[in-house]
Amino acid sequence: MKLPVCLLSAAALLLAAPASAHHSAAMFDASKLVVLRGTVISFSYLNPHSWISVQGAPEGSTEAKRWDVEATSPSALSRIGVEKETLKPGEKITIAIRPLRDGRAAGSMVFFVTPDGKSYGADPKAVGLDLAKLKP
Amino acid sequence: MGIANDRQARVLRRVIAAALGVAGSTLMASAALAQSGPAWPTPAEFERAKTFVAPKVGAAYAGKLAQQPDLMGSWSPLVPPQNAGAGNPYFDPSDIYVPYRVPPGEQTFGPNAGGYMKNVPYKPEYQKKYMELVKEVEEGKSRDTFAACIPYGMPRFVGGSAGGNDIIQSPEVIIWHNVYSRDVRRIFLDGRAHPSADGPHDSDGRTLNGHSTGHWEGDTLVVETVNMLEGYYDETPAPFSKEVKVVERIRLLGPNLMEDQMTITDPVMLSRPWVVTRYFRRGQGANPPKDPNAIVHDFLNVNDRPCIPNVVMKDGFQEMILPQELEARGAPPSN
Repeated sequence: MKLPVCLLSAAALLLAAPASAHHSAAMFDASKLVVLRGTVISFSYLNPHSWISVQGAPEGSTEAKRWDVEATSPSALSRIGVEKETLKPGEKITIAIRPLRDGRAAGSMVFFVTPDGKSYGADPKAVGLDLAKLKP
Repeated sequence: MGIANDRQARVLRRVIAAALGVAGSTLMASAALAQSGPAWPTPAEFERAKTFVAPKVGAAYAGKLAQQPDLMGSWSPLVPPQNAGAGNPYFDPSDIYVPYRVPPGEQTFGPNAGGYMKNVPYKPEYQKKYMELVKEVEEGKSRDTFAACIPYGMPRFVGGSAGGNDIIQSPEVIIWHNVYSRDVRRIFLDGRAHPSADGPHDSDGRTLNGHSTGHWEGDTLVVETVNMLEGYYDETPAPFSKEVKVVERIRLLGPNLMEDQMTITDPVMLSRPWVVTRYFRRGQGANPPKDPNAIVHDFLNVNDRPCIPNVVMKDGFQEMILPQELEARGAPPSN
């Protein structure tokens, strides 16, 4: 079903409004976007914040290691369609993050793509990426 | 009680027990042998309990609660639509500077770094201080201790919270539970005065939530809160002094829409009273509500981890501890 663009925008605004704020946004570098390709190690779906841990490497690199990606609370994730069962250890994943400023292998979640090609979180187009090329 | 007194008490108990020839706990408890606090249930009370019929809340509070507007339920703070992508919460979201916005669905953690409120009526020196603090956050440094388990405190409790609130009413006190802060404020409606900020009694002194008293003016609940500790209104972070005072006018605008208009005075930092209005929407259905836009998750759901698993304060600023670092220290994976 195709929805008019204005409707989609309104829905997107509604989804965006409530966000979680347990610690500050200061530690992440909002000006950078890193796309990781790898495998889910674990998905901690818990309050106040959830974590997606991935064994993988940034695009253009072959240096695979563990990355910890922070997401918000289960209730906030639930509003963008992410449930406890959405991610399973061992499954392939592509995940885009705003990296930590201090260089450690971690960041905040922008969106992720599951093996079925479905994306969760921000629309990849909104950050200049093509979903078709992101399927893990 | 000092060591000598403790010892005297133990000796006294032994002497009395020997003299009575019994050491039964019932007698010990009832013989005024230095037991403090409310009394343990007696055998007679347990006996009476077999036929006891509990008095009902409706009967006890009839006529007292019946005239109060119904504020009970789970309330989510509302964010104006024009603030989409700005991060959240700003204590007063009505007029903010947003350095950058993120697309819908991207995860945000507080106000976007470098964002601030444009309408705090600070005196010039404190406006300068606020901008210095904002600059720190922009550079990646946050002084916010909430992430390291310190509750919000008032007035951030009302205006600077990302998550929901449970409000429970009784005739003489309102219990307001901030779910995200894992903290409770009590609003006393029994006519009591505020305790002293610096007096000698147990109830005196400053606390994170301060001391709140309230009364009803028609359908509006008027609450005055004083005796708070100094702190920040939100994560931007806008500071306030310990002289801050908040007067709230809380009323229902619709069946499930609540307005909390705060008038804030702070003779140290503000040049005039600051009026901030926040809105809350009540979750519908079961209690806890099934509405996914209301808070339904137990906030103490942290499994094997401490209350806030991954942030500590180091040299006054937040430092993130990653799950992989926690696990390297021996914490089990939390999956």
